[in-house]
Amino acid sequence: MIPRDEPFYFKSNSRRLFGTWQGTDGPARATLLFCHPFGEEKKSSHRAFVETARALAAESVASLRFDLTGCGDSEGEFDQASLTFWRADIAAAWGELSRRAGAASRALLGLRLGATLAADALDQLERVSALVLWQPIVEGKEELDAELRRLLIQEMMTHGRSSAERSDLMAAFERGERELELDGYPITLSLYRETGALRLAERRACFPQRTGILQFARRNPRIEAFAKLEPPIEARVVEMPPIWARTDYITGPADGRRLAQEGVLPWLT
Amino acid sequence: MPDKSIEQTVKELMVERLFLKITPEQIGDETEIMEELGVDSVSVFEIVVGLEETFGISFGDDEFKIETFRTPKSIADYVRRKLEGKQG
Repeated sequence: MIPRDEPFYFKSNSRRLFGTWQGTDGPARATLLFCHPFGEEKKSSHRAFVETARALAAESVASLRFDLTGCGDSEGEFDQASLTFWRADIAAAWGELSRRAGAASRALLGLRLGATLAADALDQLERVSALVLWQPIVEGKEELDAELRRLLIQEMMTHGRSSAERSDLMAAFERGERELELDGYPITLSLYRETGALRLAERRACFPQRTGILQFARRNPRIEAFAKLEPPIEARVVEMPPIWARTDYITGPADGRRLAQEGVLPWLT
Repeated sequence: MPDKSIEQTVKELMVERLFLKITPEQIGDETEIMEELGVDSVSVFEIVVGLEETFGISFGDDEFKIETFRTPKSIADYVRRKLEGKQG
């Protein structure tokens, strides 16, 4: 019988962050820190994270889920957050994981932008035994460009057609005439620029030997190309709808066991 | 590529990328995809990315028009125009 998960608060500098520890029945053989994606993607994937943590606990893998500054139940406002805060948050959460891990190994997992952020924070983390990237954002700039296209499409759905180009939108953002958003949540121009500068390839030298990539349902050409860079990273595909973009995340099927078996355990010792 | 297969490819792409619980054959050329299949802005984005990857075309920022995404046929017509433009 796996123990109930344990909600608690911990500090990242002066900020209170919300975490949930999923322990194991008996000593854990490994531990895992989850890094969440942002905006609606965080909401959509929450249940999958919880279920995966429970399925892992049944395999003697304890885990910590937490909310970054300005997200979920942690302190701060999303529109005042920065990558500097979030890097520090991941380091603080890693400290919490390490404190509870004992002799068990410690692994790091992130989804979408959470995966990219996890990789970005690697140089601040000690003894990372494995890194698991679920559908990582390879280039921050591309993701933000996609975000601008989503805005154009939303405009089309409302008004029948898009009335501007991406360059116009960016100019309006720069002039402060329009609010910047990341998956529906307002962000600062500086965070937008910081996120746009993220490049997963630049962190590759920090990756632990045991690194894996999980893609959902279909192969993403950019992720595939990234995985093939030397030294190649094992990339698996799990045949299920993207957990960060599901509308049935409350009523839909439970995927935790499958995600644990196919998307985490292959890369843990 | 024959015209008919563009419609069929669009339907297959929609079923696959939007995880629709129907077969491509159950979608008509004139099916109103927003009203009848519940396609929303998130789904349109998926369709756009799928069309670009499948047909090697690129949507311009000024080409997002609601009439393009009304039915599989209207999407296929857009793809045809883009492919003809590439060839020309």
